[in-house]
Amino acid sequence: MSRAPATVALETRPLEWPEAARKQVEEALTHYPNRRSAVLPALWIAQRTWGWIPPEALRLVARTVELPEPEVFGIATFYTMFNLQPVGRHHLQLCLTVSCSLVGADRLYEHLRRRLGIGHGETTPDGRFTLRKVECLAACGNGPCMQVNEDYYENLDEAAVDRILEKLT
Amino acid sequence: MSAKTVKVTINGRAIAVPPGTLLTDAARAAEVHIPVFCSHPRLPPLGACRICVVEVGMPRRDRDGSPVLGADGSPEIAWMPKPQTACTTTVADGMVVATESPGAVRARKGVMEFLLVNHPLDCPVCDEGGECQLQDLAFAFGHDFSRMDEAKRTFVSEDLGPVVKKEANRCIVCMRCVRYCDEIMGEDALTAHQRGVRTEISSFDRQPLECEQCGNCIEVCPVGALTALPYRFKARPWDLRQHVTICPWCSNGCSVRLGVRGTEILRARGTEHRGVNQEYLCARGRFGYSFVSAAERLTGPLLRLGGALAPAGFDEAVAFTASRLREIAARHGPGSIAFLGGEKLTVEEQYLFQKLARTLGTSHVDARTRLTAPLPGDAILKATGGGRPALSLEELGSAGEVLVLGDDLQGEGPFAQAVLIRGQHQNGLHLTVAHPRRVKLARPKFRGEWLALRPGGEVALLNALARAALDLGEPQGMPPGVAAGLPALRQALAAWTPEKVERVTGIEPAAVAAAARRLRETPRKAIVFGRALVEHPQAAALLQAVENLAWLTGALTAERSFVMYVGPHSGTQGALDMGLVPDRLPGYLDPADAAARAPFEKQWGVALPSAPGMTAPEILKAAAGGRVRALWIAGDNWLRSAPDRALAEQALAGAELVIVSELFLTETARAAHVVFPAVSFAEKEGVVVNCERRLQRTARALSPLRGARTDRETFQAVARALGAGWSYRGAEDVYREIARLVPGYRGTGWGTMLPLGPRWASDGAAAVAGSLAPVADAQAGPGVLAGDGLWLLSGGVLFQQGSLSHRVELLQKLAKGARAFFGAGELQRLGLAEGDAVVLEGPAGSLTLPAAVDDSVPPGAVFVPYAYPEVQVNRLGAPAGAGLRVKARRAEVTARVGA
Repeated sequence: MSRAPATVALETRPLEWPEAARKQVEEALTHYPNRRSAVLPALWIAQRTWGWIPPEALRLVARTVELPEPEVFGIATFYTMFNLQPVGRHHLQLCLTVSCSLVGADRLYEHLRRRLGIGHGETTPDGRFTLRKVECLAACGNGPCMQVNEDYYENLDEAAVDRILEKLT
Repeated sequence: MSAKTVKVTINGRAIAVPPGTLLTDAARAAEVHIPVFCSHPRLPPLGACRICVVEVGMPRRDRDGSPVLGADGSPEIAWMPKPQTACTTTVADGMVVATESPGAVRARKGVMEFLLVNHPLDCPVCDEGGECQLQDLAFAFGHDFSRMDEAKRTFVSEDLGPVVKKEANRCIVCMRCVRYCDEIMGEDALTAHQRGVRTEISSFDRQPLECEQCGNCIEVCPVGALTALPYRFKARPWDLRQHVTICPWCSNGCSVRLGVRGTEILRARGTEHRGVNQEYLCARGRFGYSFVSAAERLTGPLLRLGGALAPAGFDEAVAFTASRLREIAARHGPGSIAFLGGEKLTVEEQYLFQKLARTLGTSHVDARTRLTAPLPGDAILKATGGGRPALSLEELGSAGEVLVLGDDLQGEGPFAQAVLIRGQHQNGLHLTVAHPRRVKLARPKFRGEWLALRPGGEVALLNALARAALDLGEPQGMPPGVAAGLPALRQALAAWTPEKVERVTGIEPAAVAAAARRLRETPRKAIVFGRALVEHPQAAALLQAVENLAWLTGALTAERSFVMYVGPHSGTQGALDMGLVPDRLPGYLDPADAAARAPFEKQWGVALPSAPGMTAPEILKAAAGGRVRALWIAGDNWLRSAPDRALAEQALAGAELVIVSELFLTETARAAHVVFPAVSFAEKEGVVVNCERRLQRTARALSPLRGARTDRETFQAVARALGAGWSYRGAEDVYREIARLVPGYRGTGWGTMLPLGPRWASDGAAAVAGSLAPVADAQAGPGVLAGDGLWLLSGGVLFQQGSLSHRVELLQKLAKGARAFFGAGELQRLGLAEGDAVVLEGPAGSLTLPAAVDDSVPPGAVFVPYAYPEVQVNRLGAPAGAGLRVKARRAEVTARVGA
């Protein structure tokens, strides 16, 4: 089945940018000759603000950069790094492409799965972690590699993973 | 078209085409078939599907530029190393194209194999099967086996709202739907998401589409990915009889292809290469046909002999009608009989309706039942250039500047709106929209200007525009008769200083000046107006003001420029042309002129009244006052269309004889003494005239409902019972008489109207001389702004049109129930929330409706679309002066005690 899981609206009434985010968006808009060009930075700011991008945030971005809402939806769905479903506070994205696989990424995935009790695309009941297998993170020289939200962790083994998980509350 | 052409050779056939022609179009001219999916004549080239690949070469040239000749003496061709997409490649002089060379055939078969990698080939259960381009081309160019072992990519089927069914498995991602929705509809409702190997067309977050629900995405889909839910699994295309006729829902006159099985219309589609609209239809045109087979259709005449209406035989009803009409004419004079309505009839029926009236000796005949003040019968013709050839809708879309005055084309002429949006996107058309609400065409995304017209400021704005245009220099090319009025007009316009105009209209002088400058200085321009001006209490003044503006800006003198009237109904223009007005005979002839009357008197065998009769608003007052004793109302729900419902009720209750010809037992029909069952647009033949003044033939797609009669038969039967010797054998017979007698229509015939009828223009006699004349504003002064209450803005909306749309379940569902719309600020000031019941109180009555927020409604106003079944706007009182003011308050909630 190809259908993306149904998105869950956080809010049904129109969202507004919180003050800090609004400033960032305004700053981003200054980088471009027209508003629509700021669609990707605005999506990033939305993701950092709400942890994921709910439909109401997509509408907010559309309003902000003056693009039709469906077009913003089309853009957001093209990029896998925009989360259009809710994720845990810490989004663990473990690379399982060839280089990382060769140096033990599959073992680490099993380790994470056992330790957190969740599989690919799932979130722990306390909302702390979401685990996801991803394609190449372009850190092949230092595999295995895992991205947590916007941070990279490299040269991993089980012990390193455990230390990381301890720190992420 | 420029005389310069380039020579191209396609499959050995040399043709000359204009530079810039796409290879697909050049091939069509050379009668070579190049298959396409993503390419569409109304959309810019994309090159997405690649089925149109061909081999392209140019003659090889020496260093000195001379062609290199091969061994046989013919020029050597340097072929491009890879096949090219014909839909994006433009011609070049000397270009050689091969569509059937081994390389081209191999490439096309390869593309077809790719297109079928994921296509489910579920043709037997696909509604597109039998008329599917993919099916046809797979048959022509596909393999008879598949080399694919892998599982096909699959998607879940989705309903995108109540009209669009999506089966993404069948989609070949040609993007036609997305592009049409954006470029022509201006809706941007569809998008491609999950772009990549899983690209899928859908709406925002897969929500039901919030759009015009036109279904044009279904129409342009070359496969079965988008199909119509109302037609789903109803029929196979080869089981349908197809009839091309003219859509009845507005004055644009779109061609519509009805698919009929047995006695039922199962679908309506555009016509691809015919009609003014080609593939385009709006939601009403595409999904509004079901009223034709509604169970409530009248299937026989009704007579009120005692107290209640009871079924009667046709002959009995005719005899009753004739004897009562004769009686009333004898007792009170023929001036006590009036004929109303007819804007939804064919030209032939309109002609007979007024012929019947005038034969009876009355000139009280008027189709324009919504008028709030008397208006000369030729006022609209005069404001639109007095018989000057009209602009076609196609030409309207390629104008440089278009001023839309007072109407929301989304409701009043959806195709005209689409034409303007396409023009804005593709031809650099610039829009100026003067409307109290920020209607769709005034939205920022169409990059036009919105002049936020305050009710009561209409005359002032038009005068201000005229003055600003005059300030830019002397108008050019006006006929001497028109130019003679210039000094007086100039003097009168001097009083309309920018400060005064800003005070009355609320529009900045700079915006007015800029709009006038654009209109004057753009070479090709058009002014579009509709019912908002015509049904305004100051209509006569407004139409003169429009004409002044048109002369001063060149809209009536510059080449391919025009003033267009987009009237409310399919027969609005025809009714004016056919003399369904009290002061003009068919062809706008003056009944006071004995020479003009003579041909009609000779043909009809009667002496015609020379004095003008009463206009619809005058008939309304006279009937309510007992001076009109008999009314015949044809195809018009008068209790709703009359400007004052209380007066209309009084008129119907007091009249000795009320005859109503209708499809349904409307409120008006319920008040009648005789009801004749009419037939719908799909059951009769005839001619209708659209807003381009184009004469178009309608076709009979269905036999008339058993028991129903065409209005032509009814009018003729009554005329014969009254002693007139009418003997028309059919509608075409009537048309022959029209073509003989009516200036402008002379020399036309049914046979000349296919596939696209001619646009009539004055042949001299039908011309009305133009003029420039000062227009005073009866309302100008502090009273306009100082009034109490909210301005009532009414108007047409897309999904509701009146008594016909009330019988279409799907349109009712799309229209989502009647509401009174306020700006968010206004609603707050009133202490109301969305959904609260609000009472609107006018001078004559009140209406209670749920309140809703619509940010297009300006402060100090409320918008109530008039066409909802539960809205009777005319209960509030007749608009006068600048319009109608109402008071809004929260509806009292009365607690019910006990059960």
